[in-house]
Amino acid sequence: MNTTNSNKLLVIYEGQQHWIPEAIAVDDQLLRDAFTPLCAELANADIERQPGEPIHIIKKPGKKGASCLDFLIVAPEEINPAVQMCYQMRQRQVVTGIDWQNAEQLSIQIEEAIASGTKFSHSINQTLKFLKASIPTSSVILEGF
Amino acid sequence: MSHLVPLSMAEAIYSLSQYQFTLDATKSLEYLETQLNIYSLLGLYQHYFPNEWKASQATIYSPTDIDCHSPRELEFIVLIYAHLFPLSDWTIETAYEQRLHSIPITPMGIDWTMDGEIEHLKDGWQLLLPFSHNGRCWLDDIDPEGSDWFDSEFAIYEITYSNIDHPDKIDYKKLKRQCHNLDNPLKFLPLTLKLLDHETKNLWLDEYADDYYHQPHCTSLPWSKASIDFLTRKWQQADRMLNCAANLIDWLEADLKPHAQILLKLWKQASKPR
Repeated sequence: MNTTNSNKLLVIYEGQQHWIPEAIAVDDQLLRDAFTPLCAELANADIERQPGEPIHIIKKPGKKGASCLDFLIVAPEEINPAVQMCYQMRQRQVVTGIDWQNAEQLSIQIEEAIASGTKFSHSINQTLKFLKASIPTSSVILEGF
Repeated sequence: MSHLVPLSMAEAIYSLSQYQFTLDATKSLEYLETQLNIYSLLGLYQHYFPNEWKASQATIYSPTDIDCHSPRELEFIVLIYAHLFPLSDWTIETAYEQRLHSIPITPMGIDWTMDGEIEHLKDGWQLLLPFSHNGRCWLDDIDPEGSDWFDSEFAIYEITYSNIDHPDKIDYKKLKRQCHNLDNPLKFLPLTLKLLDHETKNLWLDEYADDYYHQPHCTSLPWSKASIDFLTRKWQQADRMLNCAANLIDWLEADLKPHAQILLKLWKQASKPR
């Protein structure tokens, strides 16, 4: 297999071939930095080099939710249940006023919305905290991107 | 029944206030906390006092501010105080000015440790202080000497601080057995001493008040059936304990000199062997 191409080396990441300038490809850290924009978790990737073979860049299996990107991925996409319930209660009470006939049932629903809304806010705050704590890193823009 | 036309000015203002947008999570949670308080109190009122609810003419809308209880909610709080369990004067007054987001527990036990409280304690309770662990520690710690104070109060009844064996020297199993066989209110002595030691395992009696009148940091429970049932049950139990203790105190005070001697004799009999 031809692994060099006019001062570029062949790097394989998840089965896809990438021709990377030799100056970058020979240095593990530079190579990782070059691929980090593709996937943040590659910042700690393993690099496998064998004579005559393409370079393999392998994502390290990390702790779920440990990286900034993971936090973003697991961050909930729906509307905060507390905001949603607040809107529903306002809409309802415009028409009914205080709906005392359903007081018991409504208080259960509100309590649940407060619990899930608080959990939701906590999750969002964690993600935001992680984003704010992330150190900005410059990276090489890969050819073709 | 749901209706489209508000029936009062307060209801109209309430309905109009619902048109506000709340997109911020913190503000939504604040709004829901208030709504939870309103609906919990109204739901609990209907559950615990259905007849009073039906007969009530009080409005369910706060005439001034959503952050204050409505007259109907206040009615429920007063009914709790009248029929279920105690609420402090501070709690009742506060409820007229701001929402009670939880049920504050008013300490109802025997507490003499705050300034001036010892003077308000009945003679029978004062007499029992050195028989309890808490009372003994307190009398030993206060300056000037607590024992001098005790003797100045009770020497005329021929009972002095040094006559009373330290509670650590008492075999409580033996004391309990001896008291159990009595047919006078002295049988309530172990329970009464637990009250002084705040070891009754009843939250109404074991809680300490930082300040009897104003208790912003006291223990509280959420507005729920479980809390109200629990507090009512515990208060009934606490009330029985307080009555038993009051029985003993009244008996002691009825003829302090001979009854104090009977108490002292019983105490000495329960001493651990030296």
